[in-house]
Amino acid sequence: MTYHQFLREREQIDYLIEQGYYMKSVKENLSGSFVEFEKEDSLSETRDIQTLHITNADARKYFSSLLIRQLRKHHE
Amino acid sequence: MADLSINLAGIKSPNPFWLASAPPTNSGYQVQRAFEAGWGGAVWKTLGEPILNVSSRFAAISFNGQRVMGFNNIELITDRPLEENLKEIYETKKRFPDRAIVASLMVEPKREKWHEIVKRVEDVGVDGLELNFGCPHGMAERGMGSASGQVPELVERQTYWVKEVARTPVIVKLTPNITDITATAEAAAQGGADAISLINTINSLMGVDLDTWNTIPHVAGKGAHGGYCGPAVKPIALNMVAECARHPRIRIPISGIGGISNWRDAVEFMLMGATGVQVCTAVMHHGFRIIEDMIEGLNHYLDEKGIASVMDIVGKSVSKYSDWGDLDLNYKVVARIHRERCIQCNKCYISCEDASHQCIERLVDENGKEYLKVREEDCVGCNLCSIVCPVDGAIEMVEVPSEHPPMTWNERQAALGRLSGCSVDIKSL
Ligand SMILES: Cc1cc2nc3c(=O)[nH]c(=O)nc-3n(C[C@H](O)[C@H](O)[C@H](O)COP(=O)(O)O)c2cc1C
Ligand code: SF4
Ligand code: SF4
Repeated sequence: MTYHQFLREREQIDYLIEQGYYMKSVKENLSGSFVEFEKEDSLSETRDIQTLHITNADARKYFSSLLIRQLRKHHE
Repeated sequence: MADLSINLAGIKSPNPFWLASAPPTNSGYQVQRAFEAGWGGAVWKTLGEPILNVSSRFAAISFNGQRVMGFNNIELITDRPLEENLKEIYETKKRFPDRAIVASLMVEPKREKWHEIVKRVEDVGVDGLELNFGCPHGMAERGMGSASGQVPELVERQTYWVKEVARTPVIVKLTPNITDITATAEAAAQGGADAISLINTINSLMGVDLDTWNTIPHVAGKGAHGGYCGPAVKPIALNMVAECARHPRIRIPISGIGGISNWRDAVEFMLMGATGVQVCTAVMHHGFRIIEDMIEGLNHYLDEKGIASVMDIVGKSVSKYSDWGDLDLNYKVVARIHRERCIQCNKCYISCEDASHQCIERLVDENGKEYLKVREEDCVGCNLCSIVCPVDGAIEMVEVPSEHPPMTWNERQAALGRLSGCSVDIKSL
Protein backbone atom coordinates (compact mmCIF):
# COMPACT_ATOMS: atom_id res chain seq x y z
CA MET A 1 0.00 0.00 0.00
CA THR A 2 2.28 2.79 1.25
CA TYR A 3 5.11 0.96 -0.44
CA HIS A 4 3.42 1.36 -3.81
CA GLN A 5 2.97 5.06 -3.16
CA PHE A 6 6.69 5.23 -2.35
CA LEU A 7 7.58 3.42 -5.56
CA ARG A 8 5.39 5.79 -7.57
CA GLU A 9 6.92 8.91 -6.06
CA ARG A 10 10.46 7.51 -6.26
CA GLU A 11 9.95 6.78 -9.94
CA GLN A 12 8.86 10.38 -10.55
CA ILE A 13 11.97 11.65 -8.75
CA ASP A 14 14.26 9.20 -10.59
CA TYR A 15 12.70 10.09 -13.91
CA LEU A 16 13.41 13.81 -13.53
CA ILE A 17 16.97 13.17 -12.37
CA GLU A 18 17.59 10.82 -15.31
CA GLN A 19 16.34 13.59 -17.58
CA GLY A 20 19.04 15.90 -16.24
CA TYR A 21 17.07 17.82 -13.62
CA TYR A 22 18.48 18.77 -10.22
CA MET A 23 16.72 19.81 -7.07
CA LYS A 24 16.43 23.56 -6.90
CA SER A 25 14.24 24.18 -3.90
CA VAL A 26 12.10 22.37 -1.39
CA LYS A 27 9.08 23.82 0.32
CA GLU A 28 7.51 21.86 3.11
CA ASN A 29 4.12 22.41 4.68
CA LEU A 30 1.27 20.44 6.18
CA SER A 31 0.65 18.73 2.83
CA GLY A 32 4.15 17.33 2.50
CA SER A 33 7.13 18.39 0.39
CA PHE A 34 7.05 20.34 -2.85
CA VAL A 35 10.32 19.73 -4.63
CA GLU A 36 11.25 22.03 -7.46
CA PHE A 37 13.50 20.51 -10.12
CA GLU A 38 15.30 22.54 -12.74
CA LYS A 39 16.86 21.22 -15.93
CA GLU A 40 20.65 21.27 -15.65
CA ASP A 41 21.26 22.91 -19.03
CA SER A 42 18.28 25.24 -19.24
CA LEU A 43 20.04 28.25 -20.69
CA SER A 44 17.01 29.68 -22.38
CA GLU A 45 15.01 32.56 -20.94
CA THR A 46 12.12 30.27 -20.06
CA ARG A 47 13.56 28.03 -17.36
CA ASP A 48 12.50 24.43 -17.40
CA ILE A 49 11.12 23.81 -13.91
CA GLN A 50 9.08 20.85 -12.70
CA THR A 51 7.52 20.51 -9.26
CA LEU A 52 6.81 17.23 -7.54
CA HIS A 53 4.49 16.94 -4.58
CA ILE A 54 6.02 14.23 -2.38
CA THR A 55 3.70 12.89 0.28
CA ASN A 56 5.17 9.51 1.16
CA ALA A 57 7.51 9.49 4.15
CA ASP A 58 9.99 7.08 2.57
CA ALA A 59 9.99 9.11 -0.63
CA ARG A 60 10.76 12.21 1.41
CA LYS A 61 13.72 10.38 2.93
CA TYR A 62 14.68 9.30 -0.58
CA PHE A 63 14.82 12.75 -2.15
CA SER A 64 16.58 14.07 0.97
CA SER A 65 19.35 11.48 0.60
CA LEU A 66 19.68 12.38 -3.10
CA LEU A 67 19.74 16.05 -2.21
CA ILE A 68 22.64 15.53 0.21
CA ARG A 69 24.46 13.62 -2.53
CA GLN A 70 23.70 16.44 -5.00
CA LEU A 71 25.02 19.08 -2.61
CA ARG A 72 28.18 17.06 -1.92
CA LYS A 73 28.80 16.60 -5.66
CA HIS A 74 28.24 20.27 -6.24
CA HIS A 75 30.72 21.05 -3.48
CA GLU A 76 33.48 18.84 -4.92
CA MET B 1 37.64 -12.16 40.09
CA ALA B 2 37.23 -8.60 38.99
CA ASP B 3 37.86 -5.65 41.29
CA LEU B 4 34.40 -4.49 42.35
CA SER B 5 35.53 -1.57 44.47
CA ILE B 6 34.50 1.93 43.53
CA ASN B 7 35.55 5.44 44.34
CA LEU B 8 32.69 7.91 44.02
CA ALA B 9 34.04 11.44 44.37
CA GLY B 10 36.44 10.20 47.03
CA ILE B 11 33.99 7.93 48.84
CA LYS B 12 35.32 4.40 48.61
CA SER B 13 33.39 1.17 48.97
CA PRO B 14 34.27 -2.49 48.33
CA ASN B 15 31.47 -2.87 45.79
CA PRO B 16 29.15 -0.48 43.92
CA PHE B 17 25.98 -1.56 45.74
CA TRP B 18 24.74 0.87 48.38
CA LEU B 19 21.48 0.94 50.25
CA ALA B 20 19.52 4.08 49.46
CA SER B 21 18.37 6.37 52.25
CA ALA B 22 15.08 4.73 53.22
CA PRO B 23 13.54 2.29 55.73
CA PRO B 24 16.33 -0.33 55.30
CA THR B 25 18.87 2.23 56.60
CA ASN B 26 16.79 3.47 59.48
CA SER B 27 19.00 2.13 62.28
CA GLY B 28 22.42 0.79 63.19
CA TYR B 29 20.92 -2.66 63.69
CA GLN B 30 19.70 -2.75 60.08
CA VAL B 31 22.76 -1.20 58.42
CA GLN B 32 25.10 -3.53 60.30
CA ARG B 33 23.09 -6.55 59.22
CA ALA B 34 23.17 -5.23 55.65
CA PHE B 35 26.95 -4.86 55.82
CA GLU B 36 27.22 -8.40 57.17
CA ALA B 37 25.24 -9.54 54.14
CA GLY B 38 27.74 -7.79 51.86
CA TRP B 39 26.42 -4.34 50.96
CA GLY B 40 29.23 -1.97 50.03
CA GLY B 41 27.69 1.15 51.50
CA ALA B 42 24.61 2.72 53.01
CA VAL B 43 23.05 6.13 52.84
CA TRP B 44 21.50 6.56 56.27
CA LYS B 45 17.78 7.30 56.49
CA THR B 46 17.55 11.09 56.14
CA LEU B 47 18.51 12.99 59.28
CA GLY B 48 16.91 16.24 60.31
CA GLU B 49 14.51 17.43 62.92
CA PRO B 50 12.61 14.26 63.90
CA ILE B 51 9.16 14.15 62.34
CA LEU B 52 5.85 12.38 62.96
CA ASN B 53 4.68 9.73 60.51
CA VAL B 54 1.18 8.61 59.57
CA SER B 55 -0.28 5.13 59.46
CA SER B 56 -0.70 3.62 56.89
CA ARG B 57 2.03 4.79 54.51
CA PHE B 58 2.92 2.33 51.73
CA ALA B 59 1.11 0.93 48.69
CA ALA B 60 2.23 -1.12 45.69
CA ILE B 61 1.19 -2.00 42.18
CA SER B 62 1.40 -5.65 41.24
CA PHE B 63 1.31 -6.49 37.57
CA ASN B 64 0.46 -9.75 35.93
CA GLY B 65 1.30 -11.84 38.95
CA GLN B 66 4.47 -9.99 39.80
CA ARG B 67 4.30 -8.28 43.18
CA VAL B 68 5.63 -4.76 43.72
CA MET B 69 6.22 -3.56 40.17
CA GLY B 70 5.80 -0.07 41.53
CA PHE B 71 5.90 1.09 45.14
CA ASN B 72 4.60 4.24 46.76
CA ASN B 73 5.05 5.84 50.16
CA ILE B 74 4.02 8.84 52.19
CA GLU B 75 6.72 8.30 54.80
CA LEU B 76 8.93 11.19 55.89
CA ILE B 77 12.54 11.39 57.10
CA THR B 78 13.78 9.77 60.31
CA ASP B 79 11.50 10.02 63.32
CA ARG B 80 14.35 9.34 65.76
CA PRO B 81 16.46 11.98 67.53
CA LEU B 82 19.69 13.01 65.84
CA GLU B 83 21.92 11.91 68.78
CA GLU B 84 20.54 8.40 68.62
CA ASN B 85 21.28 8.13 64.88
CA LEU B 86 24.74 9.64 65.29
CA LYS B 87 25.66 7.17 68.02
CA GLU B 88 24.62 4.28 65.80
CA ILE B 89 26.46 5.69 62.78
CA TYR B 90 29.62 5.95 64.91
CA GLU B 91 29.29 2.37 66.11
CA THR B 92 28.52 1.03 62.64
CA LYS B 93 31.50 2.81 61.09
CA LYS B 94 33.77 1.42 63.82
CA ARG B 95 32.57 -2.13 63.11
CA PHE B 96 32.73 -1.75 59.31
CA PRO B 97 35.51 0.74 58.55
CA ASP B 98 35.80 -0.37 54.91
CA ARG B 99 32.13 0.28 54.05
CA ALA B 100 30.80 3.63 52.91
CA ILE B 101 28.44 5.38 55.30
CA VAL B 102 26.85 8.46 53.88
CA ALA B 103 24.57 10.66 55.96
CA SER B 104 21.48 11.91 54.19
CA LEU B 105 20.49 15.34 55.43
CA MET B 106 17.46 17.57 55.18
CA VAL B 107 16.93 20.85 56.99
CA GLU B 108 15.18 24.12 56.36
CA PRO B 109 16.75 26.29 53.66
CA LYS B 110 18.75 28.31 56.21
CA ARG B 111 22.52 28.63 56.21
CA GLU B 112 23.05 28.13 59.96
CA LYS B 113 20.77 25.05 59.99
CA TRP B 114 22.89 23.40 57.28
CA HIS B 115 26.15 24.37 59.01
CA GLU B 116 24.99 22.92 62.31
CA ILE B 117 23.89 19.53 61.01
CA VAL B 118 26.91 19.10 58.73
CA LYS B 119 29.33 19.66 61.59
CA ARG B 120 27.52 17.34 63.98
CA VAL B 121 27.24 14.54 61.45
CA GLU B 122 30.83 14.75 60.22
CA ASP B 123 32.08 14.54 63.80
CA VAL B 124 30.97 10.90 64.02
CA GLY B 125 33.04 9.86 61.04
CA VAL B 126 30.72 9.58 58.04
CA ASP B 127 32.39 9.13 54.64
CA GLY B 128 30.18 11.65 52.90
CA LEU B 129 26.97 13.65 52.92
CA GLU B 130 23.91 13.37 50.72
CA LEU B 131 21.61 16.38 50.61
CA ASN B 132 18.01 15.28 50.29
CA PHE B 133 16.35 17.74 47.92
CA GLY B 134 14.01 15.05 46.77
CA CYS B 135 11.25 13.89 49.10
CA PRO B 136 8.05 14.95 47.35
CA HIS B 137 5.63 14.82 50.27
CA GLY B 138 5.33 16.09 53.80
CA MET B 139 8.60 17.99 53.98
CA ALA B 140 7.95 19.87 50.74
CA GLU B 141 5.03 21.65 52.37
CA ARG B 142 7.61 23.07 54.79
CA GLY B 143 9.98 24.33 52.07
CA MET B 144 12.26 21.30 52.28
CA GLY B 145 12.86 18.23 50.08
CA SER B 146 11.54 18.63 46.57
CA ALA B 147 10.27 22.15 47.34
CA SER B 148 13.92 23.14 47.41
CA GLY B 149 14.97 20.55 44.86
CA GLN B 150 12.71 21.93 42.15
CA VAL B 151 14.32 25.38 42.21
CA PRO B 152 17.84 25.47 40.75
CA GLU B 153 18.82 28.62 42.69
CA LEU B 154 17.86 26.98 46.00
CA VAL B 155 19.79 23.82 45.14
CA GLU B 156 22.85 25.83 44.22
CA ARG B 157 22.69 28.08 47.28
CA GLN B 158 22.14 25.30 49.81
CA THR B 159 24.84 23.14 48.26
CA TYR B 160 27.17 26.10 48.54
CA TRP B 161 26.30 26.55 52.24
CA VAL B 162 27.06 22.91 52.90
CA LYS B 163 30.34 23.08 51.00
CA GLU B 164 31.35 26.07 53.14
CA VAL B 165 31.81 23.77 56.13
CA ALA B 166 31.87 20.18 54.81
CA ARG B 167 35.08 18.20 55.09
CA THR B 168 33.72 15.09 53.38
CA PRO B 169 32.39 14.74 49.82
CA VAL B 170 28.91 16.21 49.22
CA ILE B 171 26.38 14.36 47.07
CA VAL B 172 23.24 16.21 46.02
CA LYS B 173 20.21 13.92 45.66
CA LEU B 174 17.84 15.16 42.98
CA THR B 175 14.10 15.02 42.62
CA PRO B 176 12.63 13.72 39.35
CA ASN B 177 9.58 15.95 39.87
CA ILE B 178 10.90 18.54 37.46
CA THR B 179 10.72 18.98 33.69
CA ASP B 180 14.46 19.04 33.05
CA ILE B 181 16.61 17.33 35.67
CA THR B 182 19.80 18.71 34.14
CA ALA B 183 18.78 22.19 35.34
CA THR B 184 19.00 21.19 39.00
CA ALA B 185 21.94 18.86 38.40
CA GLU B 186 23.85 21.76 36.89
CA ALA B 187 22.86 23.96 39.82
CA ALA B 188 24.26 21.36 42.21
CA ALA B 189 27.52 21.27 40.26
CA GLN B 190 27.63 25.09 40.29
CA GLY B 191 27.11 25.05 44.04
CA GLY B 192 30.20 22.88 44.39
CA ALA B 193 28.67 19.42 44.79
CA ASP B 194 31.17 16.59 44.51
CA ALA B 195 28.55 14.23 43.04
CA ILE B 196 24.85 13.92 42.36
CA SER B 197 22.52 11.02 43.09
CA LEU B 198 19.24 10.37 41.30
CA ILE B 199 16.42 9.75 41.41
CA ASN B 200 14.33 10.27 44.50
CA THR B 201 10.67 9.26 44.26
CA ILE B 202 8.12 10.48 41.69
CA ASN B 203 4.83 12.18 42.64
CA SER B 204 2.12 9.56 42.48
CA LEU B 205 -1.33 8.42 43.52
CA MET B 206 -1.35 4.64 43.67
CA GLY B 207 -5.05 4.02 43.26
CA VAL B 208 -8.59 4.48 44.46
CA ASP B 209 -10.60 1.78 46.23
CA LEU B 210 -13.67 1.01 44.13
CA ASP B 211 -15.83 0.14 47.16
CA THR B 212 -14.91 2.78 49.71
CA TRP B 213 -13.76 5.42 47.20
CA ASN B 214 -10.78 6.01 49.48
CA THR B 215 -7.34 6.66 48.10
CA ILE B 216 -4.73 3.90 48.34
CA PRO B 217 -3.13 4.19 50.84
CA HIS B 218 -5.44 6.25 53.02
CA VAL B 219 -5.12 7.68 56.49
CA ALA B 220 -8.51 7.65 58.18
CA GLY B 221 -10.23 8.16 54.84
CA LYS B 222 -7.88 10.82 53.47
CA GLY B 223 -4.94 10.53 51.12
CA ALA B 224 -2.06 12.61 49.83
CA HIS B 225 0.31 12.23 46.92
CA GLY B 226 3.24 9.95 47.63
CA GLY B 227 6.58 9.05 46.11
CA TYR B 228 6.76 6.36 43.42
CA CYS B 229 9.70 3.98 43.08
CA GLY B 230 10.54 0.34 42.30
CA PRO B 231 11.06 -1.50 38.99
CA ALA B 232 8.42 0.61 37.21
CA VAL B 233 10.49 3.79 37.55
CA LYS B 234 13.75 2.34 36.23
CA PRO B 235 13.41 3.68 32.66
CA ILE B 236 12.66 7.17 33.99
CA ALA B 237 15.62 7.08 36.33
CA LEU B 238 17.96 5.64 33.70
CA ASN B 239 17.08 8.40 31.25
CA MET B 240 17.66 11.08 33.88
CA VAL B 241 21.04 9.58 34.78
CA ALA B 242 21.96 9.46 31.09
CA GLU B 243 20.85 13.05 30.49
CA CYS B 244 23.05 14.22 33.36
CA ALA B 245 25.96 12.02 32.31
CA ARG B 246 26.06 13.42 28.77
CA HIS B 247 25.57 17.04 29.81
CA PRO B 248 28.73 19.06 29.19
CA ARG B 249 28.31 21.26 32.28
CA ILE B 250 27.63 18.45 34.77
CA ARG B 251 31.06 16.97 35.06
CA ILE B 252 30.68 15.26 38.45
CA PRO B 253 30.17 11.59 39.35
CA ILE B 254 26.67 10.13 39.57
CA SER B 255 25.17 7.68 42.04
CA GLY B 256 22.34 5.91 40.19
CA ILE B 257 19.03 5.19 41.95
CA GLY B 258 15.60 4.08 40.82
CA GLY B 259 14.18 0.62 40.27
CA ILE B 260 17.48 -1.22 40.55
CA SER B 261 16.66 -4.81 41.50
CA ASN B 262 19.56 -6.92 40.27
CA TRP B 263 23.11 -6.78 38.91
CA ARG B 264 21.87 -6.28 35.35
CA ASP B 265 20.04 -3.08 36.30
CA ALA B 266 23.17 -1.92 38.08
CA VAL B 267 25.36 -2.55 35.02
CA GLU B 268 22.92 -0.58 32.86
CA PHE B 269 23.09 2.40 35.21
CA MET B 270 26.88 2.21 35.34
CA LEU B 271 27.19 1.96 31.55
CA MET B 272 24.99 5.05 31.36
CA GLY B 273 27.30 7.01 33.59
CA ALA B 274 26.69 6.04 37.23
CA THR B 275 29.79 5.31 39.31
CA GLY B 276 27.73 3.23 41.72
CA VAL B 277 24.12 2.43 42.52
CA GLN B 278 21.68 2.67 45.41
CA VAL B 279 18.82 0.29 46.12
CA CYS B 280 15.68 0.67 48.21
CA THR B 281 12.50 -1.03 46.95
CA ALA B 282 14.16 -4.32 45.97
CA VAL B 283 15.50 -4.64 49.52
CA MET B 284 12.13 -3.74 51.02
CA HIS B 285 10.66 -6.51 48.84
CA HIS B 286 13.25 -9.27 49.19
CA GLY B 287 15.56 -8.30 52.04
CA PHE B 288 19.30 -7.67 52.32
CA ARG B 289 20.19 -11.10 50.93
CA ILE B 290 19.71 -10.00 47.28
CA ILE B 291 23.21 -8.57 47.53
CA GLU B 292 24.69 -12.06 47.15
CA ASP B 293 23.26 -12.50 43.65
CA MET B 294 24.13 -8.92 42.77
CA ILE B 295 27.80 -9.35 43.64
CA GLU B 296 28.07 -12.79 42.10
CA GLY B 297 26.30 -11.73 38.92
CA LEU B 298 28.41 -8.60 38.49
CA ASN B 299 31.61 -10.54 39.11
CA HIS B 300 30.67 -13.18 36.61
CA TYR B 301 29.67 -10.57 34.01
CA LEU B 302 32.96 -8.69 34.33
CA ASP B 303 35.03 -11.89 34.25
CA GLU B 304 33.23 -13.11 31.15
CA LYS B 305 33.91 -9.82 29.44
CA GLY B 306 37.52 -9.82 30.60
CA ILE B 307 37.09 -6.53 32.46
CA ALA B 308 39.44 -6.13 35.42
CA SER B 309 37.66 -3.39 37.34
CA VAL B 310 34.00 -2.40 37.57
CA MET B 311 35.10 1.24 37.30
CA ASP B 312 36.09 0.45 33.70
CA ILE B 313 32.46 0.16 32.59
CA VAL B 314 31.36 3.52 33.99
CA GLY B 315 29.92 5.71 31.25
CA LYS B 316 30.72 3.34 28.38
CA SER B 317 27.25 3.79 26.82
CA VAL B 318 26.92 7.54 27.34
CA SER B 319 28.17 8.46 23.86
CA LYS B 320 25.53 6.16 22.35
CA TYR B 321 22.79 8.30 23.89
CA SER B 322 22.07 11.27 21.71
CA ASP B 323 19.25 13.48 20.41
CA TRP B 324 16.52 12.32 18.06
CA GLY B 325 17.80 14.74 15.44
CA ASP B 326 21.11 12.85 15.33
CA LEU B 327 19.59 9.45 14.53
CA ASP B 328 20.08 7.91 11.10
CA LEU B 329 16.86 8.20 9.06
CA ASN B 330 18.19 5.71 6.53
CA TYR B 331 18.71 2.89 9.04
CA LYS B 332 16.02 0.25 8.67
CA VAL B 333 14.92 -2.94 10.37
CA VAL B 334 11.97 -5.17 9.48
CA ALA B 335 10.16 -7.90 11.35
CA ARG B 336 10.60 -11.49 10.25
CA ILE B 337 8.39 -14.26 11.62
CA HIS B 338 9.98 -17.67 12.10
CA ARG B 339 7.23 -20.13 11.26
CA GLU B 340 8.81 -23.02 13.10
CA ARG B 341 8.57 -21.13 16.40
CA CYS B 342 5.24 -19.36 15.90
CA ILE B 343 2.30 -20.77 17.85
CA GLN B 344 -0.28 -18.93 15.74
CA CYS B 345 -1.63 -16.86 18.60
CA ASN B 346 -2.21 -13.94 16.20
CA LYS B 347 -1.13 -11.33 18.73
CA CYS B 348 1.36 -9.82 16.30
CA TYR B 349 -1.23 -9.73 13.53
CA ILE B 350 -3.73 -7.84 15.69
CA SER B 351 -1.16 -5.33 16.92
CA CYS B 352 0.18 -4.58 13.47
CA GLU B 353 -3.32 -4.40 12.02
CA ASP B 354 -4.82 -2.18 14.74
CA ALA B 355 -1.85 -0.13 15.90
CA SER B 356 0.83 -0.21 13.28
CA HIS B 357 1.10 -0.52 9.50
CA GLN B 358 -1.10 -3.48 8.51
CA CYS B 359 1.75 -5.41 6.99
CA ILE B 360 1.38 -8.89 8.51
CA GLU B 361 -0.47 -11.20 6.15
CA ARG B 362 -2.37 -14.38 7.02
CA LEU B 363 -1.53 -16.87 4.33
CA VAL B 364 -2.18 -20.54 3.64
CA ASP B 365 0.61 -22.82 2.44
CA GLU B 366 0.40 -25.61 -0.13
CA ASN B 367 -0.69 -28.08 2.58
CA GLY B 368 -3.58 -25.86 3.61
CA LYS B 369 -1.77 -24.76 6.78
CA GLU B 370 -2.19 -21.16 7.92
CA TYR B 371 0.86 -19.03 8.59
CA LEU B 372 1.79 -15.39 9.10
CA LYS B 373 4.20 -13.43 6.97
CA VAL B 374 5.42 -9.85 7.16
CA ARG B 375 5.21 -7.82 3.96
CA GLU B 376 8.67 -6.45 4.58
CA GLU B 377 8.50 -3.55 2.16
CA ASP B 378 5.61 -2.05 4.15
CA CYS B 379 7.07 -2.85 7.57
CA VAL B 380 8.33 0.29 9.31
CA GLY B 381 10.33 -1.72 11.84
CA CYS B 382 8.41 -0.36 14.80
CA ASN B 383 9.10 -3.50 16.93
CA LEU B 384 5.49 -3.72 18.14
CA CYS B 385 4.87 -7.27 16.90
CA SER B 386 8.08 -8.57 18.49
CA ILE B 387 7.19 -6.81 21.74
CA VAL B 388 3.75 -8.45 21.99
CA CYS B 389 4.82 -11.89 20.74
CA PRO B 390 4.76 -14.34 23.66
CA VAL B 391 7.33 -16.70 22.11
CA ASP B 392 11.01 -15.86 22.37
CA GLY B 393 12.62 -15.78 18.97
CA ALA B 394 9.42 -16.19 16.95
CA ILE B 395 9.82 -12.68 15.58
CA GLU B 396 13.23 -11.37 14.72
CA MET B 397 13.95 -7.77 13.84
CA VAL B 398 16.34 -7.88 10.90
CA GLU B 399 18.49 -5.05 9.64
CA VAL B 400 17.92 -4.17 5.98
CA PRO B 401 20.91 -2.72 4.15
CA SER B 402 20.31 0.84 2.99
CA GLU B 403 21.20 2.03 -0.48
CA HIS B 404 21.95 5.45 0.99
CA PRO B 405 24.58 6.60 3.48
CA PRO B 406 23.41 7.65 6.96
CA MET B 407 21.33 10.83 7.03
CA THR B 408 20.06 12.46 10.20
CA TRP B 409 17.13 14.85 10.53
CA ASN B 410 19.57 17.61 11.43
CA GLU B 411 21.67 16.91 8.32
CA ARG B 412 18.51 16.82 6.20
CA GLN B 413 17.30 20.17 7.49
CA ALA B 414 20.75 21.68 6.98
CA ALA B 415 20.72 20.40 3.39
CA LEU B 416 17.28 21.88 2.75
CA GLY B 417 18.51 25.15 4.19
CA ARG B 418 21.46 25.22 1.80
CA LEU B 419 19.24 25.01 -1.25
CA SER B 420 18.68 28.40 -2.74
CA GLY B 421 15.12 29.58 -2.45
CA CYS B 422 14.31 26.89 0.06
CA SER B 423 12.05 27.74 2.91
CA VAL B 424 11.02 25.44 5.68
CA ASP B 425 7.47 26.27 6.57
CA ILE B 426 7.69 26.53 10.34
CA LYS B 427 3.97 26.06 10.70
CA SER B 428 4.43 22.48 9.54
CA LEU B 429 7.22 21.63 11.98
C1 LIG C 1 9.39 4.15 52.22
C2 LIG C 1 10.44 4.97 51.60
C3 LIG C 1 11.08 5.95 52.35
C4 LIG C 1 12.08 6.74 51.77
N1 LIG C 1 12.72 7.65 52.54
C5 LIG C 1 13.72 8.39 52.00
C6 LIG C 1 14.48 9.27 52.79
O1 LIG C 1 14.29 9.40 54.00
N2 LIG C 1 15.45 10.00 52.18
C7 LIG C 1 15.72 9.89 50.85
O2 LIG C 1 16.63 10.56 50.35
N3 LIG C 1 15.03 9.03 50.07
C8 LIG C 1 14.04 8.28 50.62
N4 LIG C 1 13.39 7.38 49.84
C9 LIG C 1 13.72 7.27 48.41
C10 LIG C 1 14.76 6.18 48.12
O3 LIG C 1 16.00 6.46 48.74
C11 LIG C 1 15.02 6.03 46.61
O4 LIG C 1 15.49 7.26 46.11
C12 LIG C 1 13.77 5.64 45.84
O5 LIG C 1 13.00 4.73 46.57
C13 LIG C 1 14.09 5.06 44.46
O6 LIG C 1 14.84 3.86 44.54
P1 LIG C 1 14.17 2.38 44.42
O7 LIG C 1 13.40 2.36 43.14
O8 LIG C 1 15.33 1.44 44.48
O9 LIG C 1 13.28 2.24 45.60
C14 LIG C 1 12.41 6.56 50.41
C15 LIG C 1 11.77 5.58 49.67
C16 LIG C 1 10.81 4.78 50.24
C17 LIG C 1 10.15 3.71 49.43
S1 SF4 D 1 7.56 -4.19 13.10
FE1 SF4 D 1 5.72 -2.95 13.24
S2 SF4 D 1 5.16 -2.53 11.14
FE2 SF4 D 1 6.59 -4.25 11.08
S3 SF4 D 1 5.32 -6.05 11.12
FE3 SF4 D 1 5.84 -5.61 13.23
S4 SF4 D 1 4.14 -4.35 13.97
FE4 SF4 D 1 4.03 -4.36 11.75
S1 SF4 E 1 2.72 -13.18 18.17
FE1 SF4 E 1 4.41 -14.57 17.88
S2 SF4 E 1 3.59 -16.56 18.32
FE2 SF4 E 1 1.84 -15.21 18.07
S3 SF4 E 1 1.30 -15.41 15.90
FE3 SF4 E 1 2.73 -13.73 16.02
S4 SF4 E 1 4.74 -14.65 15.68
FE4 SF4 E 1 3.33 -16.30 16.14
